[in-house]
Amino acid sequence: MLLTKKKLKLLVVVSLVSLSLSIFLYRIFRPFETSDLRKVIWEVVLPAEYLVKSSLSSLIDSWNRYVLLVGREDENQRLRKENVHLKDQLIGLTGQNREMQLETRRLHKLLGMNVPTNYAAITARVISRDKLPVSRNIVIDRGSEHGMKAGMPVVVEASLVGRITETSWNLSRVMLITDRLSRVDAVIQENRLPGILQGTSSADCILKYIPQNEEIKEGDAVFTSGLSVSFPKGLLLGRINRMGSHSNDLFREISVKPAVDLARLEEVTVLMPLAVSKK
Amino acid sequence: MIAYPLLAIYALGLILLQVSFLDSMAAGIIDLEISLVLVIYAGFRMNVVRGGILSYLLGFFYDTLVGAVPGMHGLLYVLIFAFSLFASREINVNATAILMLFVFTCAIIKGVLVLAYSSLATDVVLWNDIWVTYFPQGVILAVISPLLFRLFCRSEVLLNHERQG
Repeated sequence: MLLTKKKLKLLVVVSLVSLSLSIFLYRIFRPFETSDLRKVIWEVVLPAEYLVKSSLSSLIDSWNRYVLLVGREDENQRLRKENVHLKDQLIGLTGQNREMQLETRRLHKLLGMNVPTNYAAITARVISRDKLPVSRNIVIDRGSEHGMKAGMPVVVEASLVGRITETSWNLSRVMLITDRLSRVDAVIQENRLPGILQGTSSADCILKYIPQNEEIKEGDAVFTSGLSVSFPKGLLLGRINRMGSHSNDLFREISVKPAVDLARLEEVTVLMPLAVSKK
Repeated sequence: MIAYPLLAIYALGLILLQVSFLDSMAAGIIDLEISLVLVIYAGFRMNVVRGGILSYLLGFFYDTLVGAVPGMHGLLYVLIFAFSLFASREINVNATAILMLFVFTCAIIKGVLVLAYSSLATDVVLWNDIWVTYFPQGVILAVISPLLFRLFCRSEVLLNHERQG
């Protein structure tokens, strides 16, 4: 029996919705499993995205500088004279050199950090960031070919910034500690109170399960407790910046500001368990 | 059959444009999700099979590149496609004001669904994002949607021409 056009349309739509719903439900239960097709798309598109974005950003910067200069001829003349006197001091500090110096400084910090025992450190560059308001992830330029695996901690200096959640051959996705799905076993340094640091997909995190009657101060440092196998003990997470208190609640509402400005990450260090790195 | 690989390339190109060029132009302040307008266009104007596949592909590529829960936008885009397809019978899709209102409604519905999932999956409540993120995004998408519809119409003609040529 032939289907009418209307019924055929309905059948196609119902099939598509069912198929996409099944895929979604399947992926919910296997969130950190990366399919080969997804890996291929990453490998091809993310470097292209990085290239387009960095070129555009340079172009926009140049344009902004040009616009700023238009109509400032007099000021320009005065600045030219001043410039003669300052020129000698500025040699070697062109924009590019300055950028390289800053990068070198950041890399020195990364290389000079104390790597926790039983871990090897691998430096990676951030090439992309997520745009969704509900998630906080970055993509780095190291993947399974470099030994990256899901679950590895990612740090900047001695501060935890997140963990690897997905890897392709040359790229990895890192879930930052501010992502709403992130949970980290934490401890307040001053009084050794344990809690769970949870992301909120905003700039700050919340520290959960701290009892109402405990004494806590703003500015107290929060570290990884080392209770879970995911993160080594003693990595700085952030500092307490706000405390709420509802007398009816069993626990306090504590807001923690991450130790690192996660919106401006450029290079990070991945901590690879030595047992993994030797393989 | 050549139309289907072309659809995939078209979808991937559009998502790449969206997450790189448009994101840079908008300085990361607002997410210009033009793929959502294309899904609505597919529901209004395209053949049901091609439109449905294009919608899923757009969602799949978007999920892959922006790091959302895999499959989430695939499902959301197919649902919006279905909504647009059935709504196109009831409303005059050629009226600019109605089109803008429809795009705005879909952007808000999508935002509500994303946040509802987020609230269900975690105990973090982000409903404020409706006003901060999805409302301005919906307004901007609604304003530019008539222009985007013209562009999509032209590129569809071009795609069909390639296919026949």
